[in-house]
Amino acid sequence: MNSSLTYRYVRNKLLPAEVEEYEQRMLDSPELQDELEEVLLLQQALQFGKTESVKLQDSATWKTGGRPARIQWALAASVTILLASAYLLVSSWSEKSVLINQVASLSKPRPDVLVATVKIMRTAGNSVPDSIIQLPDKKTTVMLEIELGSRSRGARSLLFSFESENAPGNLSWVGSPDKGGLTTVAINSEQIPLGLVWLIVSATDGAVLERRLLEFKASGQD
Amino acid sequence: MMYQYGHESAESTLEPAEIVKRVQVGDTSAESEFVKRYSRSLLLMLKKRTNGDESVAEECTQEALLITLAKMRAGEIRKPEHISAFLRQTGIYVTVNYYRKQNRFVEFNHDNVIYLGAQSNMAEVEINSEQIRLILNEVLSKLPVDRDREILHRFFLLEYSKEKVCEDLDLSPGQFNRVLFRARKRIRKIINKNKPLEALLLSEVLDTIKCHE
Repeated sequence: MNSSLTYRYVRNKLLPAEVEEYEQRMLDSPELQDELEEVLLLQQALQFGKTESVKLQDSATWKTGGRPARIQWALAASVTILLASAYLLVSSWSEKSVLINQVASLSKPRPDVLVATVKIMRTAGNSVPDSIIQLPDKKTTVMLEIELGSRSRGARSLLFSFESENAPGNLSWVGSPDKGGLTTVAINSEQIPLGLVWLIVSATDGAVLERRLLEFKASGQD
Repeated sequence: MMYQYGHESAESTLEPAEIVKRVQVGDTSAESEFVKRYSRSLLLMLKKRTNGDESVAEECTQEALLITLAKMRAGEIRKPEHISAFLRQTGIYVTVNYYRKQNRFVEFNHDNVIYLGAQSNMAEVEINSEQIRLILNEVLSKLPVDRDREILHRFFLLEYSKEKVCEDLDLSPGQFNRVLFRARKRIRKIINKNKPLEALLLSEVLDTIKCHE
């Protein structure tokens, strides 16, 4: 049995029958146990490292006394970045609530609001987009109705972000699932990167719960 | 009764059916052998199934071992040669019941059990003791930096496919495999150096079994 099976097991990529077979063999195989132990520990350490780095960023603002100037500059830069991120998050929040209010107050359909539903991806693989959304050429408010997967529905609060090669340092926001497992966000179309975009849904601690591939096309694109 | 934990030792040659038979007639050394053989693997399996929740995995492991031992003593194992399959299934049921009692949502997908509530606890991935925290820190410090770490992050945390990671970072499959292999080798070294780690991870399970005796 080669180690890729252990990787697939840890990353929940095995079919139920394969899971059963893997676990059954692992129970009786010290070699597979070693392998699984290593991979689980590696995964836990990576997760732990992520949490720790967040903690370090938080505490860095309080521990500047007596450090070399370069570190102080680095800390100051980190604080600035943190503040800027917080500002962007808050501004994106207030912008979002304004947009939502504007849209909610509409009594009739408006041409400058595009509503798109992002259903749970039924197809396998990482190359087929969940939804393909064609953006109009003029500035538009895009309302994304996102159907959440089972892992995200139980959470009270979720972090959403777009990840795209075309636009590093992307948009992120906080949302909550409603009773039907949907969450809605209004985004200015100019903020949306074109092309393939990963919508990352994470728990508040940063653990990734699901990833959905979307494709945004400009007007006139096939 | 005190049980030993850890890897199946070289001298443990008893067939599973033989272990079951001996337990049934009151052979306590066979019970010890059973726990020694399966405690580690069951704990690993349940750690995976509980998304790394150490305390739940430990609690469910010891309960599953106790239930299975009780069944063995009572002669209620119908297929002794498949005792590990029975133990596996017991471990899964015990874990499902645990989450049911906690009023967490549980979803069955054939044999796969998904704990909906468990993932949101990831932040609280309970680093129960200072030792484990230190060990994880050591694992982290030994992990390669920059690109290798990025590869591991994408593969294990973002759950990108190997093909995508290779494509995104311009790697050959061979380079990718080497990064994973190196990382695992480093971790094995740390585990071997920290023998108490295994004891630490399994001590609670075995202590509880001891208490029940």
